[in-house]
Amino acid sequence: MLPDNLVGLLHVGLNHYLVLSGLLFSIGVFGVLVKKNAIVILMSIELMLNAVNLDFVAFSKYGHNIDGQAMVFFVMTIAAAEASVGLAIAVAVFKRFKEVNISKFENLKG
Amino acid sequence: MSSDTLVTILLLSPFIGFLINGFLVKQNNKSPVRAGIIGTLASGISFICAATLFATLSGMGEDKHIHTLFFNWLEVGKFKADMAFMVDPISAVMIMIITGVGSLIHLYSIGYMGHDPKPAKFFAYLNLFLFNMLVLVLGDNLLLMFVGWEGVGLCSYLLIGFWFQDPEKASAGMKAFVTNRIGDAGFLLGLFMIFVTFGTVEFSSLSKMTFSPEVAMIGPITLATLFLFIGATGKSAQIPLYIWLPDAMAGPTPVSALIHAATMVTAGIYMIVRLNFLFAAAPTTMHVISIIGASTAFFAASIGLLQNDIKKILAYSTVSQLGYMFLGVGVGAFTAGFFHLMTHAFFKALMFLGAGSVIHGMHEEQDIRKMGGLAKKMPITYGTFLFGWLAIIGTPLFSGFFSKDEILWRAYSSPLGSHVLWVVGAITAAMTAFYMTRLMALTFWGESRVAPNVKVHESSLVMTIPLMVLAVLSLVGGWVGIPHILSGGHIPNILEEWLHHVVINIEAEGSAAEEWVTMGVSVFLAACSAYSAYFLYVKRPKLVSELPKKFKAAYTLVYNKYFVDEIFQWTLIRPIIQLSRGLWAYLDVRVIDRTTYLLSDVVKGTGDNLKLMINGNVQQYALYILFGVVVSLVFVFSR
Repeated sequence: MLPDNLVGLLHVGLNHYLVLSGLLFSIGVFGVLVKKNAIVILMSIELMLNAVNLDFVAFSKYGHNIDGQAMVFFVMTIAAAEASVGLAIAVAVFKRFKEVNISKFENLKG
Repeated sequence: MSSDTLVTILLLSPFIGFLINGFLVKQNNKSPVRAGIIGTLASGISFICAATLFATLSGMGEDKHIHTLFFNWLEVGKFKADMAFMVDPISAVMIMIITGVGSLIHLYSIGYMGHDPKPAKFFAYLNLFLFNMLVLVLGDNLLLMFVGWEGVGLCSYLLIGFWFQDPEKASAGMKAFVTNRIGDAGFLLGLFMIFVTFGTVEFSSLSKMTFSPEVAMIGPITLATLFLFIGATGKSAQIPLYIWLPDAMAGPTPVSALIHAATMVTAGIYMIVRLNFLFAAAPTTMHVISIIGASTAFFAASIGLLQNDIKKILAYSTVSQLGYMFLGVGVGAFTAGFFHLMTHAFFKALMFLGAGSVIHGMHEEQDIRKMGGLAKKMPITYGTFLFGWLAIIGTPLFSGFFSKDEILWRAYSSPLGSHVLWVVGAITAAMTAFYMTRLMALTFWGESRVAPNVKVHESSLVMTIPLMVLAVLSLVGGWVGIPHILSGGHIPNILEEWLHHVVINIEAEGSAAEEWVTMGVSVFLAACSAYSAYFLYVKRPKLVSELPKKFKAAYTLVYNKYFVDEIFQWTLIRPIIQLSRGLWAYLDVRVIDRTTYLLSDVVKGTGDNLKLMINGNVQQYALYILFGVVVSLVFVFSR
């Protein structure tokens, strides 16, 4: 048997999910803000969406409410749609400019 | 036709004339005939309406009053002013003078403006003036009167500066306008005071108020009437605001006759007569008016003694005669003042038109030293001018005699008057006789001093017919106000009875003997000085040229109009210009401009710096969004 103070650590509760979700979301935000590669940015967005999904599932389980799990399906659907559109744009841009570094595409600058 | 229709036509006819001449007639049409006929017709129709209204009014019983409401103009809280016009004995006489003399002057202008490049514009302004003057005299409340008051000021400005290509004439117009504005500010203050005190600006309601001395209204009334009098000094050219009128002679001569002799400048007198019940309740104001009037009459007449420009002499004469009228109303003889207004309109319009005829015949020469002996060359002008001369110097039986004598007698005998005022008035009458005889002598009598290359010609009939009509009026115009003492009570004093119900008259206190003596003395003085002028300028012209050397100081002083313009220039105008220049150079440039520049620099700098944030880098925008979300969350959860 482990000592009592370590049992608390091993026992996975709501807070663990939330902290993990927060970390994943922050990594996603960091990626979106800092990375220059369009593909990596899209991946970072996926990361953020999945962090939110994790939250939904965790609250659903600990709140005894099925709504959150239903919501995750919507999020996943939209994430898939977004990823396909985003990747399509990325591919189109790459074909046109041979480049995926978004810092090269600042022609819209006002 | 109903009287409402008549009032409408009376007012609108000159206005429509203005619109036609101002907008429809081609401005580059050099013939004055078409524009002149339109203008004269508009004025003539107005005159017919005025005469019909006058006849209707005289057919009425005790309460002579026609009121025409057009529409409710302003109604703000307690303040109410209607677009309404009132014909009563006072305004009826005024509209007769305005449209009658006005029509004659329109007719005359067809001849006088014959060589002018823009006659349509001239007649348009003249018609607009008539319209505004009619609004001034017919308005049933002070505010509407003020509208006309400003309107005639505008037309005066436009017509003085009619030949605005000449900077001197343009600035004369400006001077008239600015000087009038000072007076108008006084008029407005008086209007406000009256509204605050009585809660109304309608003449009919005001006249029904009772002013007993116990009522604590004496202070406000005095103040209000003093303010209104300031307005009158501006419009009617009294000390200290008279300076614009002599310069106003820069305008065409018919304008001088119509606006600056017969009608507009008498607006101040008209306003005081219209509000006679208010002025009579303020003895202090009355004293101020009579003193200002008498001193203006004296002062202007003395300047007139030495002027050489025929129009300038008449201008100073007008200022002086207006002073007489103010002396009259100031001593409580409203009827006498109004009487002189009427007779003066006839003989002064006549003299101005006569002067215009002379100037026209002499090919734009105005200096009387270069005239002389014109009587033979311009017989009609001379003959009619003679009537004007006889009227103004107060020859018995001529119009000026009756009105001037009435004023002098009232100045002597009224409880508000004094013997000093009479003496000043009588001396002024003598001076008037002197300068007018001098004008006659130098222009029409004696040796001809006309330059040999100038071909003098008599003016055409279109110009001389108005002269003849006015000459007759200068003779008979005074017969409506023959004093009882002269007629022995057999001939009624028509004017006094006519105005009896609308004008208060402060009764004179004096015996018939005194009246005879004062009348005799003033006529004698005038006759003496007229003869001495005749003697000096016709018989002994050499003596005249020596006089300035003997009385050099006095001569220089009077010849230069007492340096009043220069004094104003140095004490008021220059300091104001210097102050404005200083304010411009220091306050405006250094303080106000710098502050605004600083503000704009701050805003611009801030914008320039903020612009760096909007650099097109979408990731950076996302960072701002994140920042905003974080701040909002912190704000929401920290509460």
